[in-house]
Amino acid sequence: MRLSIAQQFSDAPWGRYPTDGDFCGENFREKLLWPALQSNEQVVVDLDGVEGFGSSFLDEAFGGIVAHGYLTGPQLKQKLKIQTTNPDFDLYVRAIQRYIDDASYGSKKLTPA
Amino acid sequence: MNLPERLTFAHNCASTLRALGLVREAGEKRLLLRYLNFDGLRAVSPAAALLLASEVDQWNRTSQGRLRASHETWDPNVTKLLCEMGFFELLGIARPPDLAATTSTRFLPFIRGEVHADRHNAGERAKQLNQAIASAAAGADIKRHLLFTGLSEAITNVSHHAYPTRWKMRPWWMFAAYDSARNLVTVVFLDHGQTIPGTLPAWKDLERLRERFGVWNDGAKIRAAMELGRTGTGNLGRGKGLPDLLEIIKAHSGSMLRILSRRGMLTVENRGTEALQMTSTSLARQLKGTLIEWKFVPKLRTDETVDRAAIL
Repeated sequence: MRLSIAQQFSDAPWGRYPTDGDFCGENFREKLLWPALQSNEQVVVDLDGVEGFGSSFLDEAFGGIVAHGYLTGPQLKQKLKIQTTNPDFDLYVRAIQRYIDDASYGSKKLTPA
Repeated sequence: MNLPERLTFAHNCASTLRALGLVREAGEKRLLLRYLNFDGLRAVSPAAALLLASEVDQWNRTSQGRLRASHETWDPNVTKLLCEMGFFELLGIARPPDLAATTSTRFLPFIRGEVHADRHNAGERAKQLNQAIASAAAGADIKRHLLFTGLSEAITNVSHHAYPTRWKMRPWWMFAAYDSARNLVTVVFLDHGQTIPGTLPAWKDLERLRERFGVWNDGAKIRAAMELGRTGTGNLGRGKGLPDLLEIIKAHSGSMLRILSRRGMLTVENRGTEALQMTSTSLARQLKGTLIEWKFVPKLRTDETVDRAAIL
């Protein structure tokens, strides 16, 4: 399954929590990424077409899968592929890998809005 | 109230903070402040201009009536900056039909946002400023994604840390300018919140840094927040997103990031060497809030003919 952040979520995502804004990392994780990971063997997340990313968004969206205990880091890396045709976005690909590696499994609980 | 001859943090920081602090004080104490005299003002930097605009913007929202000013006797370059950035609208005065300015800088209208109230489109606003910068600097290769990274994280930091939830108004502002003669982009982000030094938690890792810095003034605190964010240790909160502010600086040799917060200033320079140069200092006057300023020289697109007339 392929998820385009720009086409299916926002081309200007920002922030960590819904209190920051609708197009935050938590909303992307809960509404798109985690449902996609649950129902598919492989999920390709396409970064193209987005204005850019802040670390809060990426950490919450991707590291949050591990931090909330949905999957372990190795499980997530097996199922998830990050795709971009933009060489400028390589730093975001590396950042996502780092946030997944750094996340502590099950360290966070989702707070209902 | 008279403004000093130069409003700039690089060369006249104490007087700039003093003058603009008085405008804030007048608003907070509901003092009668009727007239701003710009006649002696000969130079104003984009960062100081945004702070001035933010103070007047807040004054307008908290006080009855409106500040008066008359631009006929102002310096032409100062008039151009204030006119283009949207300051005339704040003062409720008509824009002059012609600007006799000689500056090669184009100033973009400043953007105001509000924490939480602006939750649907803060990212859109950062994108909007990005697009305006790219349009103003049409011949330059602007790394828009890195600017967005810095601006969106600055907004997130304000959203999480700058204002207590009990504060009624939790504004932020951003502003940009492009000097075509020097091919220099300036981007400024500002809030009126509790400042970085004021929101650093008491934390044992901070104490270790305190020993390392020797001096523990507000400049050192901003630097500590930046360094803790870079190392990614612990759960500092405010410091976590600060390294994102550096991305645009890392990508441009000869660039600079300046952060003023309370009585501290941190300057980060990319001098083309491997490591970024960080300098933290203590300020004689305080800024009630946090101001972030990026200055960078983008690469010019050599394969395109730039219509300078269209830019200016």
